[in-house]
Amino acid sequence: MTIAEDKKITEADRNADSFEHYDPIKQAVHLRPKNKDNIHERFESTDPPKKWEVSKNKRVAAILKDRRLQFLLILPNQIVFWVVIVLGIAGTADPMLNFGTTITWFLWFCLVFVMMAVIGRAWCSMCPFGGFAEWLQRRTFWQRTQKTLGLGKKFPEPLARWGFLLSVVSFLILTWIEEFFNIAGPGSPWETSYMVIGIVTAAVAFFLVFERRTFCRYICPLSALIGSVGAMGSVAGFRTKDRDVCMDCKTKDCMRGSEEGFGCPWYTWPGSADSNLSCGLCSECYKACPSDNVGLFLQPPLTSVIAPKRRRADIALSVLLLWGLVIYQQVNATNVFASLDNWLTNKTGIHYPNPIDYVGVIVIVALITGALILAAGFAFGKKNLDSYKESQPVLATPQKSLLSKHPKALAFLLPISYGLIPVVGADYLARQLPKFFQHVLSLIPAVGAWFGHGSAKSSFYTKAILGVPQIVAVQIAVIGIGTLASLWAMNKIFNRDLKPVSRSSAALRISSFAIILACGVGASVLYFIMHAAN
Amino acid sequence: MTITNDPKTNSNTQSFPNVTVFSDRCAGCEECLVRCPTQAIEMDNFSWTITINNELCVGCMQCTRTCPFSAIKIESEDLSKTRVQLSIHHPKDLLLDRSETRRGITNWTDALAEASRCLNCPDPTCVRGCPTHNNIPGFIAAIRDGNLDQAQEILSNTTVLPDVCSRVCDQALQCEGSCTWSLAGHEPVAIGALERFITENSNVAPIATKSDKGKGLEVAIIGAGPAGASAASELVANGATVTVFEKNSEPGGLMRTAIPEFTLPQNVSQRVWENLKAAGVKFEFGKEIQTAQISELKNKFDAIIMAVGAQAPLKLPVPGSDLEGIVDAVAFLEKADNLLREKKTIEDLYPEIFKRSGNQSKSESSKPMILVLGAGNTAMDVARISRRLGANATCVDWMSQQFAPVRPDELVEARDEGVDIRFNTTVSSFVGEKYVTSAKLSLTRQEVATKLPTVIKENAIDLKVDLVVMAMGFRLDKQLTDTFTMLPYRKKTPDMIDRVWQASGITAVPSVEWARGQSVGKLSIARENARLKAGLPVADNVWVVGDALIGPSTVVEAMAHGKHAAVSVLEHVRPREGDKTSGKTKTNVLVIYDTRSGNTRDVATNLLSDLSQDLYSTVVTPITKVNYNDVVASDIIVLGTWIEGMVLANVKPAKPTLRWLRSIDTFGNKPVIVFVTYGVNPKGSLDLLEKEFAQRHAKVLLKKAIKGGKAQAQLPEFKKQVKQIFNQYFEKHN
Ligand SMILES: Cc1cc2nc3c(=O)[nH]c(=O)nc-3n(C[C@H](O)[C@H](O)[C@H](O)COP(=O)(O)O)c2cc1C
Ligand code: SF4
Ligand code: SF4
Ligand code: SF4
Ligand code: SF4
Ligand code: SF4
Repeated sequence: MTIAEDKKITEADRNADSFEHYDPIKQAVHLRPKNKDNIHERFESTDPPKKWEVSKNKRVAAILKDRRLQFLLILPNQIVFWVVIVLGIAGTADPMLNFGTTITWFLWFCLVFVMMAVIGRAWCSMCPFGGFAEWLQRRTFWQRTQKTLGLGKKFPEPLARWGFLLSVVSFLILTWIEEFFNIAGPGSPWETSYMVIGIVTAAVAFFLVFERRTFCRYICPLSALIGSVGAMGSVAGFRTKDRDVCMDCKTKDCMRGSEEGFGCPWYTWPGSADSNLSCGLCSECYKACPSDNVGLFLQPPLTSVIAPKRRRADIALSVLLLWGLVIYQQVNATNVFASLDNWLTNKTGIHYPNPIDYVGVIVIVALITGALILAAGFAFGKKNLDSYKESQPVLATPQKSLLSKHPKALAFLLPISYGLIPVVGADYLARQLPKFFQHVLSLIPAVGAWFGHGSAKSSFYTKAILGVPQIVAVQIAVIGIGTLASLWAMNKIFNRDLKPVSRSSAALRISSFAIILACGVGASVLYFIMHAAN
Repeated sequence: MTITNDPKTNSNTQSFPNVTVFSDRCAGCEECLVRCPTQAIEMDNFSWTITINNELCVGCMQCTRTCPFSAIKIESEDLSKTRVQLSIHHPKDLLLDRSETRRGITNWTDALAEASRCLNCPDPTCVRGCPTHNNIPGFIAAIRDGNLDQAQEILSNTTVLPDVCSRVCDQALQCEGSCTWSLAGHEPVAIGALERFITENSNVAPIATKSDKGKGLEVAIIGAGPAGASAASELVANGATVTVFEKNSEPGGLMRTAIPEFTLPQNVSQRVWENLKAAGVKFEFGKEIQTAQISELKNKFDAIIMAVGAQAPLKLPVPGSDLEGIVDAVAFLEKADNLLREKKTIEDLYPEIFKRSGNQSKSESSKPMILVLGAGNTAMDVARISRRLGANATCVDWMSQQFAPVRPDELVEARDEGVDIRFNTTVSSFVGEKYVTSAKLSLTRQEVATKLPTVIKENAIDLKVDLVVMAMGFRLDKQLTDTFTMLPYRKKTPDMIDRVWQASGITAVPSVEWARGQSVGKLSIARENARLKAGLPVADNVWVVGDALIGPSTVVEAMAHGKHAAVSVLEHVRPREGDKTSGKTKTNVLVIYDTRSGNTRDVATNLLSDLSQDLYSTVVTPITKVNYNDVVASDIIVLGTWIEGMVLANVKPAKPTLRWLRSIDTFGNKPVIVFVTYGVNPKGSLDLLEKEFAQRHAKVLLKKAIKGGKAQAQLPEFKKQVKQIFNQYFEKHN
């Protein structure tokens, strides 16, 4: 069919209402009209280009409609993770030869970061933790079932108001545990195994108590990281094809679920999604929409960093805390830190990582970064932001919260924190690189060991793809690219969001660039020091 | 008249509701905003989330029930204000008393106060709960304006029996149970009492001519009950000639025979028939039409609506049940009602029985004993009328009280009048020579509503009885079910609830206190599905409505069915002779498609693109969005689907198509065109579809398989074939 005819189809679909018939209910319904003011303006910056809809391809469309799709994505990961669990307990105790530890820490953890930066929540669509728990919750592997298992409770508001910050907290806790036991080192395979079991158990518990993917949205340790770093990704996610159709849609099957698909498990409405932040790429809305009005869209990289009109305070704070964490992980390999941690260990009796310096470093880094942003904002921004009020960035947290009392602070904190996303993301990726380059080949003897061929004597056991100096070079290159991406994004963000609120536009622009540069350079220098310390 | 104490504008209570919007997950879909009755919800276009002004909010929680993402929390005291107290009239001397026991609102002050409790909800759940979908906020607003004539007019759009329904409906399971206040856990607006107030304080208007859509149509209605009355009214108002056949000598059906005067006064139940006679409806009394005579009747009439009710009383098959002195409730009630009117007593009813027993209605203890089997509403009527005729009455029901289908107020009234009602009790045998003299009662236990009770103690009680009345319910006449095998339709709620209904919030509360713990949403949807089915004929030009369609139900449901069937007759039936196009404007073509990658949709949307817009009205809809009402309203259906399978094995029409087809009981003999788009080979898919349609009373006129990739090349030929069928089938246009 030609494009012209395609157009006619959507027209026809939209007009396909009903025959005139006796409908007594209609006579009594008098819904208030919707507020559609500025709707096109509101979304134009974040709507992906129409021609970047991959689901236009008939083959892709058929695959996305298939209910088995997500099951097939989850299945291989599910198998691997059960193997990890079993091998962790029953397999060899040598972490470098145990398939469970090698695949988890040398391959998977690096791939997740690459997927994040390129796609967004790709991992979420195939995640074996949520996947497994969701099978139980829905009592099915792929079918659309009506009766779910579990209590279907709503997540309590006092917690939900923190948005993705809860996920950051659980990431910090998990990372601490992981460092404490040196699980990712990797340490003993059974530790990895227990960690995986722990996460699956938590996921199952949350899926059975709460509705939809409450776990993924609020609790999952990786969610905030994937969400924020994923903003760099070039997959916009599932979005509305024609917003007017959504606005006039009477059923909202994408939210409530229909015969073909579940209601969005991630609390995202394709009709108003303005970033890829909370689309788990599960394709349920695509299946459910009776008007065929959902498409899978690509977007230029960094769109979800630059373009969203509503910048979320929880994401801004998450970025700062996650930045603190990755810097902590670099700092902790330095000699200065080692002596500090030893001293604290002697004082408190808790070995590395001592919770005091762990939290301390993270919070201090986050605070310093935040303070720099605010200092620049207050120095070079407008003193009086009353006129700015109308487009005041709104929080994920309710009006009563501390942050919303200081809209002025938010006017600078939110855009600049968003600008930091690429450099923070790059640093996370860079930090995973040594494990990949040095150890990923040990997967070969680890697999070989199943057939009686792998052993610590295998040349791959210790063979690294790259030597240390080369690795540092790659790391710095990655950070460099991230920094450049950040600067580019910052420039765009600045033009739209910060220019109107700056007193001295040049000075504020330069300070925001300087903060990004400082982060990039700081992280690079730390890689030097880390390896020097080794 | 203006109202000052409207809760919308008068939230001067000190404590406003506590409202929280989870702005983290509010998606700005505005489902809540469009439904909030007080406009407390506003959209923040920048953050694309909503905000709620708690000073406007009245705590009805409509928004929380409607939000798909549970993003709103409302904590509020009951701000619904006090519901009007309705009085129950307790006759001083029950004997031979015919006065109405339930009283309505007696003065304007109460009426206005009650009317002001209504929030005029934008998506009124009460309207969905009402089986005939009266415009409740509409008529309540008219009361607030002091304009009862307007209120009558609003009612007349949907009901011909407002005076009857407002008295006999179990509002707790219908409109009032579904009122937004009830769903929020508070006392609902007294909708029934307000409806009654209108009919008691203004005249129900005579049947007015609405259109001449039905000119030239001759329609037979069999049965002069509520379903027949409403069908007749709709038809005659649109210019059709209507003849009502009734086996009794008077109209009214169960409304007259089974509901006693102290619940429904005679002047009220007769009013509608006077109006129908005045509007020119012909009545043939004393004419029982057997199902077998239908085809004969078809020669004389263009359409036939069967509103014959569920006539076969259920019997208790225990030893002794064939003794004399055991009668069925309807026969009893009909006689008893007449007796009461003639001021006679129970001894006059079955003289031979009471002469023999010697019991006389003098002192309380020596009064004759009537045992009523069952404790439903009919049983209550039997027992209460027995009391008025000077007898003692005992009702027994094997169910537990909490699960019994009886209005709680009816139960209280009956007990107040001295009726002995025993739940968890059943009869195991009747004893007597020729006449029944005693009954052996056993005790039962029932723990859940869905399980039948079990006997826990056999023959525990021996009760002396003079007369036994079976009031355990009815079922459809065997002739009817043998002829129309799909009857009775069971009222069902599908697993997947219609999202438009879901959006209204009516299904959000699984157990509504005011509705005795039942789900009004499920009840309403089940009723609605049955009402829609009443619009489809069961055979060519034959409709079945009311109890005859779904088994024993209610006056209001029967009435709603009658109207829907009549609308359908007017829409689809043309006079046998004369101008085939009279009245009818356009032919309705319903195109339904199921698609995965878009091929089928492309064909479906282009297939009818050059049909004349003047003659045809087309609706093209994906299978997931088909509205049953459109199926009813269509003159022809085009169904397109794709082929699913593993090329060689298990090749079938797509699953959603089959699922949808199998969810429909009947297509009422409508013509159908089916097509499939396939990749390799559709195999037997078209035949399967034809078979499925045939089983559901539809005639497949054309089957077509189109190769998916070559759809465009094959389209012109298919178009031509379809056009031919249209020309031939709807020749009246050419
Ligand atoms: C999962 C799947 C299974 C299919 N199986 C068959 C089959 O067994 N035989 C066949 O002829 N075509 C088969 N097809 C092809 C479709 O029927 C064909 O492409 C059709 O035109 C699709 O219509 P649509 O574009 O409206 O979804 C299959 C397609 C899919 C996606
Ligand atoms: S995506 Fe589809 S179901 Fe959802 S609002 Fe838009 S049109 Fe309606
Ligand atoms: S339902 Fe749609 S919007 Fe929601 S997570 Fe899945 S793909 Fe994304
Ligand atoms: S509780 Fe009722 S009045 Fe209050 S905001 Fe919700 S819908 Fe509006
Ligand atoms: S219905 Fe729920 S998600 Fe939609 S606008 Fe209202 S609060 Fe937000
Ligand atoms: S009667 Fe109840 S549900 Fe109906 S409009 Fe009034 S307040 Fe709303």
